[in-house]
Amino acid sequence: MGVEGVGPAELIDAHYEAIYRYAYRLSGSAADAEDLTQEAFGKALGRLPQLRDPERAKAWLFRILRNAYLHKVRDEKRHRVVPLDAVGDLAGRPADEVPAVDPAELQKALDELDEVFRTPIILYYFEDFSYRAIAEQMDLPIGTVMSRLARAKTYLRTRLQAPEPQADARPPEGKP
Amino acid sequence: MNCHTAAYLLALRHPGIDDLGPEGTADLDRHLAGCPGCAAESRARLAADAALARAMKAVPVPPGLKAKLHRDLAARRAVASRRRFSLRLAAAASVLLAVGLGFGVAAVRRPPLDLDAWVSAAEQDPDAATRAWLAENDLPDALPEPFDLNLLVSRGTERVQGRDVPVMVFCDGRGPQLGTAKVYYCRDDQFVTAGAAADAQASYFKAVTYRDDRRRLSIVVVHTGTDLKPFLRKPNRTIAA
Repeated sequence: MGVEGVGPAELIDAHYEAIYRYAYRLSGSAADAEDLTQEAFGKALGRLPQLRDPERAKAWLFRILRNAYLHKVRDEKRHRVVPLDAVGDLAGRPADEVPAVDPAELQKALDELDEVFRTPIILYYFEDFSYRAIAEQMDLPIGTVMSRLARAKTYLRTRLQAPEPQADARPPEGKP
Repeated sequence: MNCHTAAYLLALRHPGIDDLGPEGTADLDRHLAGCPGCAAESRARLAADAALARAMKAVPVPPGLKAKLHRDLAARRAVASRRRFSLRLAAAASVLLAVGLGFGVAAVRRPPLDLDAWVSAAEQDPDAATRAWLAENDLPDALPEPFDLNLLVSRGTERVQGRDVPVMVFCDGRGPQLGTAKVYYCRDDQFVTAGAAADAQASYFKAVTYRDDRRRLSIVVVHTGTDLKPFLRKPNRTIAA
């Protein structure tokens, strides 16, 4: 038992669905998401004594999962991503209502984003992390997180209103 | 609040989470109540956020995943249990051997307790003592970072992954919580270092590695906090590593 009331089995039961969904949105593949989930729990269970605060279990698992994902992709050939640096930090008003978003189209759009933009946008929408919690997950200043989130949101909204990526959804290149 | 500020806050507003703070949220809500244009923009943003959040969460979880994870857990526990048994057996054998030898050797080589020697050891200059310890252990004569040796609380060895590893322990009590940093020296004949991760992170500790190819060792620094700054020498300190 790592901390009082949190054993390995309870950790799996409480968080495996959220971890799998996060892994899927990060990797864009069900097979990779399953592998990453197993790897993340394997690592987490081996380090369970390090988890002192059960309230932080979920954030801790998310961080382990992201590290596992980053290690996995580190040596893989980098896929094409859309640079977002010229997108303004503040999104304009959404053109109209966005009545429904196809989850598969959303995944395509996420796959086009660099990981530094993809991770905060997933955490923002998927697990309702605060700006501060996302900053802690990614070891970034909160202002950087807010800026990246604003750019990623603008890109997603523009991208998801069009059937395919359009010129105005691909701003010029630059550093994140 | 004017419409420009309201638009800025609307773009940052995080539905369901009070990221703007109670005052920011209250100011924004007051403006929205009296400004139909901004209120419409707020509704559009909330609708877009809700649609994206719904789509983001729409990921079906494989039905057998939970059972697979529990099987993995059971397998890991079985391996760990076998390993623990072997280690206990080896430890028991070592203890028996050590006790047998210890009685024989210690009976004729026990020094008299000399408190002056203990006090002198405590008053040793930390810089000189550290250099002597590093040389004695055939370790690099400089630390991987300019650690503040005034924060050094111990030098010695620690059992890690079944190996006795030289370690220096630094403590910083200036913050609200006691911070620690441990500097481990891992020789290549003790650990397979090729392909090892360069860093790691848990809920309270981080680890970073440094490499000394000449001595064929990796230096692993495990510390609390976000970085090593609390443990490093301040500019006006005179003791250098």
